[in-house]
Amino acid sequence: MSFVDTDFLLFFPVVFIGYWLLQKRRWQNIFLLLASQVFYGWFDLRLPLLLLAVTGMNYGAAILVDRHPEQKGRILAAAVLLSVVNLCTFKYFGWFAAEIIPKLVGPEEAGRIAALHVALPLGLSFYTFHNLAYTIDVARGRLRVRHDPVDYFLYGSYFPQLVAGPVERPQNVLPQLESERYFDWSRVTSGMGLALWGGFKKVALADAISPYVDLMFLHQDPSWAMVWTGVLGFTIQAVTDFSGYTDIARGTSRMLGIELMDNFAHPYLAATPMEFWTRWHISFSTWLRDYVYMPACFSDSVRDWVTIPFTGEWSPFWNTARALAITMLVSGIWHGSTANFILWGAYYAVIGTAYAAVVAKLPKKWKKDGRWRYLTVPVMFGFTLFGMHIFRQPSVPVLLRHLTLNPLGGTPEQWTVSASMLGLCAYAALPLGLAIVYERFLAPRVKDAVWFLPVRTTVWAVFAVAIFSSVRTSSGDFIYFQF
Amino acid sequence: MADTLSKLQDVFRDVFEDDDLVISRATTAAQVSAWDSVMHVTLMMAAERAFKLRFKSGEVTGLKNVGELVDLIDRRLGG
Repeated sequence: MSFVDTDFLLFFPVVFIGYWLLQKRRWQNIFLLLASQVFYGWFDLRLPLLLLAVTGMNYGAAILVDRHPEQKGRILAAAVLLSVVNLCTFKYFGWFAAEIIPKLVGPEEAGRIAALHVALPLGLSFYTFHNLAYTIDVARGRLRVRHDPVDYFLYGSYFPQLVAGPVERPQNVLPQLESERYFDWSRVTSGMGLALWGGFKKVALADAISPYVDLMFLHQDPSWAMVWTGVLGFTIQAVTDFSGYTDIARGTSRMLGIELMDNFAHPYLAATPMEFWTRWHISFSTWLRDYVYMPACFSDSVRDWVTIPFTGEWSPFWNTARALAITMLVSGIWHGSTANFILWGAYYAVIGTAYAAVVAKLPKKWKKDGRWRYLTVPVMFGFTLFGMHIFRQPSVPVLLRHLTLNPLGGTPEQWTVSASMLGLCAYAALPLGLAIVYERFLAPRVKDAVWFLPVRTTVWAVFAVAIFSSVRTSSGDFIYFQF
Repeated sequence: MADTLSKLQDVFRDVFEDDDLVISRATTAAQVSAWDSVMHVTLMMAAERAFKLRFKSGEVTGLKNVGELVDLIDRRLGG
């Protein structure tokens, strides 16, 4: 079930009350494990079987690594290969059936294969990465193996972060699942506030702007202003939708006494592409950093295999550029099989490398001057907008056509539509701006004021009313469900 | 070991563009401004170049302070 389904509004209170009534950690974990299977099975009854298979494979692989350390390289390679094959089978079957199979077999056979309709199971890539992190860390000697199946299977299938992250780390979650949790009213209210804020961002902001963004991108002959106000709309929709999901996940988990990692830190305030990736989808970016970028930087096989033309030796700059290209390519392919995602990955590799080259040349005093960000943040936001355009537009020819549009062109009706879109963007961005002001400037000063509690409760009530009044019209889908 | 630390200090000054930077075995990433995960990679690669060796990714991700980096370099150089 989705966080913004009415089913979840009934499911979670039952889980919350049952969980805290159980009191003992062992029973709480068994209860949460069962609840997680119900949550996932609500989408499709077959899904928990796949989840248990992925989790069980990693649970077993780590035990094998521990028992046969001399074979750990092979066991880890097998676990990674199985995970990648399983993920790719589901993720790219549609693309393979449509693009490759018809070229290999006759149309009748290709039609039969395409009719299998193998859809990507929700959250598969998230829990594949989440489980794989455990196996890799055990094999690298960074984590001790876990033998308790209840604790591990709960780590592998914990419902708040199951279908769209955060892509958690075993070092953060497993110790919490292995410790007693005590009911703490302040954590419960704090978690409830975070979940309400997340729900508000999703149903009152992202879902409000989403249909209009879709219309802008579906328009056959848009003006320049329509294209870019549509892109701006998607940029705001993406962050409200995805960070909304994360906040509900973190908030509900906090109410159960388990803290999940933060996934967003005002990404549109980044001054460079590298900083952007430390603020956007942080859990996945750090996963890529630790399990793709770092090995790509330091692996002998990558260093020796992918040589750099015209350079006699590997320099730190080109070595990191090469690792960044590999990482962003993996990220692009992970997001989808269409050409725009590959282009999107390449785009971030190129601007990341270009920024690194330019920043290295800038005078030191500029970089240390905080005012420098007044220029660099808007410039980076421009690059982010362009990246979002590539990300959202599946047709590369259409994308290229958009780049040739005249900025002053368009009919009066198209300018009116663009102005309306801009107004919608302002509506959706305003709460995000207020949240930054509150977080950075107000919260530290007013938290102890006598009026703080009633004001905060009123704001939460507004969020709750907005959620309950919109939840029936919400699509229930989050953008990142498709990945 | 003192030579390694001294040579490493030059690497740090070069990477972080700070000629006044002084490191000790107890120095951690939190104490050096701009020592984030991206700079960590650049730093490790600059150290590889200075000491003419290659690290493995597993070696450079678990370091807790400069002292552990010095020990790693000394170990790899057979010191």
